[in-house]
Amino acid sequence: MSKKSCSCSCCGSGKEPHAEYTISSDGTFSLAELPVGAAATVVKILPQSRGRKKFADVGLVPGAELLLEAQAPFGGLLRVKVLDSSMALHKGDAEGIILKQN
Amino acid sequence: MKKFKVALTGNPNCGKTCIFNALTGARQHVGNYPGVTVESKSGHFTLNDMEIELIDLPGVYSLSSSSPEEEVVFEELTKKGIDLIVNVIDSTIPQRSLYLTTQLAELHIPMLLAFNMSDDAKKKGFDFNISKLEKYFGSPIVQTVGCRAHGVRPLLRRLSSTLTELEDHGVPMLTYGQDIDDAIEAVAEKIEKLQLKKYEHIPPRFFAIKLLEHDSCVMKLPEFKPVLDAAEEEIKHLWNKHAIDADTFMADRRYAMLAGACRDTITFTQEKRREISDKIDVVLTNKYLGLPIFLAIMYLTFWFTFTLAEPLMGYIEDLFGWISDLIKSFWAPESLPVLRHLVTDGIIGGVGGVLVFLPNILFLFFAIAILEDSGYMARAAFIMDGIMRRFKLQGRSFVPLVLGFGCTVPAIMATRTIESERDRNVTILVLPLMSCGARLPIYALIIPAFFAAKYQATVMWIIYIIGVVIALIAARLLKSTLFKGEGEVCLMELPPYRLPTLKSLMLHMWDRGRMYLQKAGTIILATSVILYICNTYPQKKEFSVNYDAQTSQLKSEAEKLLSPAFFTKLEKSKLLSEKAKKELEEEKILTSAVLEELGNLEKEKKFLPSPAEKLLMEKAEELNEKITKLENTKKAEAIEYTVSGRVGKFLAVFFRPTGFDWKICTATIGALAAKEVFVSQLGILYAEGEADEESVPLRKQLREHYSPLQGFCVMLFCLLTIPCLATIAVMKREMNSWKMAVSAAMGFFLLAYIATTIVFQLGTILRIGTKIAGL
Repeated sequence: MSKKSCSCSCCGSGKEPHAEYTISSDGTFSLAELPVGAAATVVKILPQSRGRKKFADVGLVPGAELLLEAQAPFGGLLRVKVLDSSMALHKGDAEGIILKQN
Repeated sequence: MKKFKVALTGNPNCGKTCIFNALTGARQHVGNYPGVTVESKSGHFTLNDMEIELIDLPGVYSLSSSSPEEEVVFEELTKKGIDLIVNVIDSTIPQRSLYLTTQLAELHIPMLLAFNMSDDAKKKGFDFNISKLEKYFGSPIVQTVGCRAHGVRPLLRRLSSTLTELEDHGVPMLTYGQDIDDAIEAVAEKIEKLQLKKYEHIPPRFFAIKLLEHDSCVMKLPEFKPVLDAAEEEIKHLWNKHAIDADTFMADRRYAMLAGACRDTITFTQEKRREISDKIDVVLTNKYLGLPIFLAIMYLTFWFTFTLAEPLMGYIEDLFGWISDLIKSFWAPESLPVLRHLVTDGIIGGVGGVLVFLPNILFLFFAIAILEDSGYMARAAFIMDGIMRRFKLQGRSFVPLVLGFGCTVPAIMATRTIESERDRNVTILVLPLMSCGARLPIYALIIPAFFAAKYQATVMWIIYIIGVVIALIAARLLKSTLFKGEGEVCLMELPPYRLPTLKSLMLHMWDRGRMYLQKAGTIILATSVILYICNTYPQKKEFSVNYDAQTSQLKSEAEKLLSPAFFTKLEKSKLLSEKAKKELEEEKILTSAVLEELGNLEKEKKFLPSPAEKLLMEKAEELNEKITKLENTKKAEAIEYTVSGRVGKFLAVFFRPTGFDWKICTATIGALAAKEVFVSQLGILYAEGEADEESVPLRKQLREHYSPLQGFCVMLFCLLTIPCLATIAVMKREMNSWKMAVSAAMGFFLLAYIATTIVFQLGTILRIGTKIAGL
């Protein structure tokens, strides 16, 4: 994942690129930073993040592949496909889910 | 006969309720959004001489007690006496579904796996190696197609063999790896020593795992208090020595095990294609299109409810008129006149007036059922979450709020799917502001009375919007004052779209429509009787003027007016309808009905009166008007003397700032019991003496007595007060507090009073709506 202008469909007319990515040295980033339409693999869930057990229960565990399907209008909810089902969760909570590129 | 207790478990939306219905013949409704079942329900059926009690548990992803549903399931499954668990698997998403299975297996209760939706899985290209899977989970497996009755036949067969033999398929030993297993073993040993009688049927290992996972349900059980420290010690040890975070590590291991199992046993026979459901969602949940489409769907829902149900309402009205006539015809007026009146006017009038709106209610619930069963409701929650969050609610509050447009009672019950107690309570508290179906009759009466056809829809829209806006503002206020605090983590599944079956839609509609009927049969029946008595007693015997004498004098004048020649002419001619003719013969005067018919005939040039006859008709009309006026004055004087009149007059002083007169006061007070009563009460207060059939419609009466502003204020007041007594009862039940329920009801009353006063006073000063425009 690099800081190039975004190629996903959600930005439409190319108004502005996505929020700045904060990419740690090991190439990981959080689910909140994944562009719509992109897939990635879960590396870990930060120990201090809320709802981690709940997320783990639906398959958001290290090694799981996920796809960011959509973003709800007015921000907030993300729609993530994991283990073949669509789950909606909050962007704030998604920050604790750390991913790496496939 | 042997008795067995079987528990039905599975993920949300995996088709448990379908299977439950197919097995027990019960008719629970099935929605295509997670969380239809929040309580556990049970049903019975017999199978080969076995009596089976089937318990339908709420859908959960896990047994880790992170939601109210999971707590219910945990509690039910750890109770003694469950002979078999039937675990329903959504075979289109095996990996996720089987996660729960790995935990259920640890309970060591015999289990039968039902791979449901096997037809969809086949279409998706899944091929299961069943016998291999059976070995993995140590449980027999059957493939089912839940929503069709024949789809569960294999399940029944297998159920019978499993229950009779309770065959041992070997214990599925899911290992979590050496390091964790050691910790589990250590805690399990300690639990073993506790000798817990209550949980002797469940292996200590199950509880040991739960304790290591920090499972709140197990941790709060007093039985396990002695081992909590030991468990904490092990957790610390795991973290320090192996850097293992026990909280999520179990989930991690279970999924790893499942990935292996699925690789081993499931093959894809075709490339996975992009599903239709996803294609639909590209449009429906689009960041920009989603909201407009959602609003359009909501509009369609209301259009469907109001436009299509309209003709049916007429039929129901006719039906009740017919019943009332029927009773009147065989119940002689002389025998028990008071009771006769109570039945025909009080009960049939009151309950009938309410049941007229049954088509509206049923249509609305039908439309909502389509949205629910197809899976759109979950999308609606997804789309609306951003907006709801501005008002400090969440997307999940949204579905109950929409249901609130139908009836507040089931809507309040639907709030159980909201995990956070604070959010749930706030949603319950603001729900009565969503204009429910019971208020519809009031709008349906008042809006056409005061507003021209082109404004009617807009006024209705405004009323609904006012409710929504106040509800959202109130929610925000409540969340930032009384119910402060951080929200729960939201995790919501968006199930694939499914085509709803007609049977399921009807079931759904009926399930909720029934509540409306029950209300009509209980609360509304009771209030109708009470109000009827209040409207009739004490009876006034002496009037300020001798109305009867004046009336009979006018009548005899009218009789004299009708010349015998004209009478015979009308009687013999085939112009008049049978009914009018009968009236003419009985009354011997030109009644208003006869005159109206003659007037119409004259317009159609079928009846050409001579100038003398014309004059006669005009005079008769004048007399009729005088008689009506006299009767009305008498009636008004009589009703002012009754309990209603007295209470109303007393309250009218208090309600003066809101623009209500005493008649509206009594109607609105009656409407506190159930909003539908408003219309029937006003109908009774404005009813015309004996001339039931010919009484001027209520709307015309309202137009004569009130301004559009007053009409609007009445609607506003009704919108803001609690819909009915049943609402208070259900609020109490769901919030488990009389104090909250009653103070909510009083709060709404105060809000309604203040808002209505402001609107009426402002409107009067600014002269808005003081005259009828465009009619």
